[in-house]
Amino acid sequence: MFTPAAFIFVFLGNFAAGTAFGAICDGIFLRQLGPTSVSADQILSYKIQVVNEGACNLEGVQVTDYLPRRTLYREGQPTPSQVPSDRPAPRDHLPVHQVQWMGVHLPPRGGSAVFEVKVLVLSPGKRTITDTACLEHPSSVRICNTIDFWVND
Amino acid sequence: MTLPQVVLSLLLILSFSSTSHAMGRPKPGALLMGVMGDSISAGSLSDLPLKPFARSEGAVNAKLIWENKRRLSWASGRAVASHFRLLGDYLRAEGEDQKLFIENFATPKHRTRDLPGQARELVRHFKNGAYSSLIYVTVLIGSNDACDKPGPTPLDQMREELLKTFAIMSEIKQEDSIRILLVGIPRIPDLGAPSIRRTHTPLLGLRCSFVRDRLFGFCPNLIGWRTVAQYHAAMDIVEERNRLLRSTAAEATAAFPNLEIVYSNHLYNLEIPSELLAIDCFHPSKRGQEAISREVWLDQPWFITD
Repeated sequence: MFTPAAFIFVFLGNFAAGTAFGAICDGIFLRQLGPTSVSADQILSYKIQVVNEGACNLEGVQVTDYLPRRTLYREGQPTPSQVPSDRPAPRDHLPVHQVQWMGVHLPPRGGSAVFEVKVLVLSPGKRTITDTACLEHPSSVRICNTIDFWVND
Repeated sequence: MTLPQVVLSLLLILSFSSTSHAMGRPKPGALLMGVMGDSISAGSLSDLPLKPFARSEGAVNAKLIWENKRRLSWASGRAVASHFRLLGDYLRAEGEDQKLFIENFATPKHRTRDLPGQARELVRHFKNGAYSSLIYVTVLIGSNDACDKPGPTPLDQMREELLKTFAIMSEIKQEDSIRILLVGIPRIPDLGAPSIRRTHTPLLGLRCSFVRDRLFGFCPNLIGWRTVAQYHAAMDIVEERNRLLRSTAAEATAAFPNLEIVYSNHLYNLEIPSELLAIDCFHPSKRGQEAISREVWLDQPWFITD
């Protein structure tokens, strides 16, 4: 597990631009919060925060987290609508490793939601792993943010 | 003559290389969209799907064409819902009366080291055409850098070439900033999955493993993996270069105030089923080009209709 010192929550990457959903739906933001580094064979826990500062009432929003490679999904809060297979090895079919929450509601002017993801980081260490989270509204634009975590030995 | 030589000769005889990228005559005051990149944006072999789909979805045009910029490129094609078409739709919906023109400088086998040359061509064309604005540019590059033999292009070299490219583009002075969508490398190592290697192609029923890996010899460094460790090593090469593209986009946006560069990582997050591949089991088919266009369009933050 993380030591308290290592578990410093930081805003990783930029707060993804909120120019989406057309002129009247500006102000949608997505960001990930988590540690800057993690050790191999330990749990990495991070949060995806989405905020609607705009005037639109957003219903049916989909939030997708493309999990870092060489990690195993362990838990999501709230319970995701879709989770990846637990088998890590590439087989005949190589599924993209993703967790998805459907039907998210973001009321106007401050509506927000937080999604927590826990994955087991597999060996080896001394590498960077990448996570991309996206917020998507049907027939509209997508907002994504990509962040990196350093894996210690 | 061996079978591979016969097929390659046929390909060369029937292929043509588009020497003119123009898709219309420049008109003073018109808007210009630019396309830069490699064979994906050039639409290489997109006319020949690996798995021909039902004729009701569109007849297969059995031509061997090395470039399909005008018809099937995800960025510039007119026969797919390309970014050129989507941008045109957006501008019409916004009541924009200036005509939109497209120039596609993407060239098969090009790497980041070739991008400055493409950028110079774009700038030259823009200035000669007396366009009012370079409204949008797509750049999909890096696949050939990752696939390069004997090893991938070093990251610092890629960064240098990208910054050189953006410096050249920043020479264009116009009222609005130049909007550039920089698209990351797709999951090329996934193409080495046994399910794809075993797929039969329309080329005499030969398997992808033969057509792609032996006949064409595409990207053995990334596709030729056989173990989990080898697969991840190949994915590391792609992921490192996508990180470099992302960080360089941010660096160049800060360095050149008249450029607005957005990086899209979405091709990397997309599965590539064999239904989206061309006959060579490597390049995207027409359906693949449509899928790329649709997915990547969602990542541009500028041309959004309500």
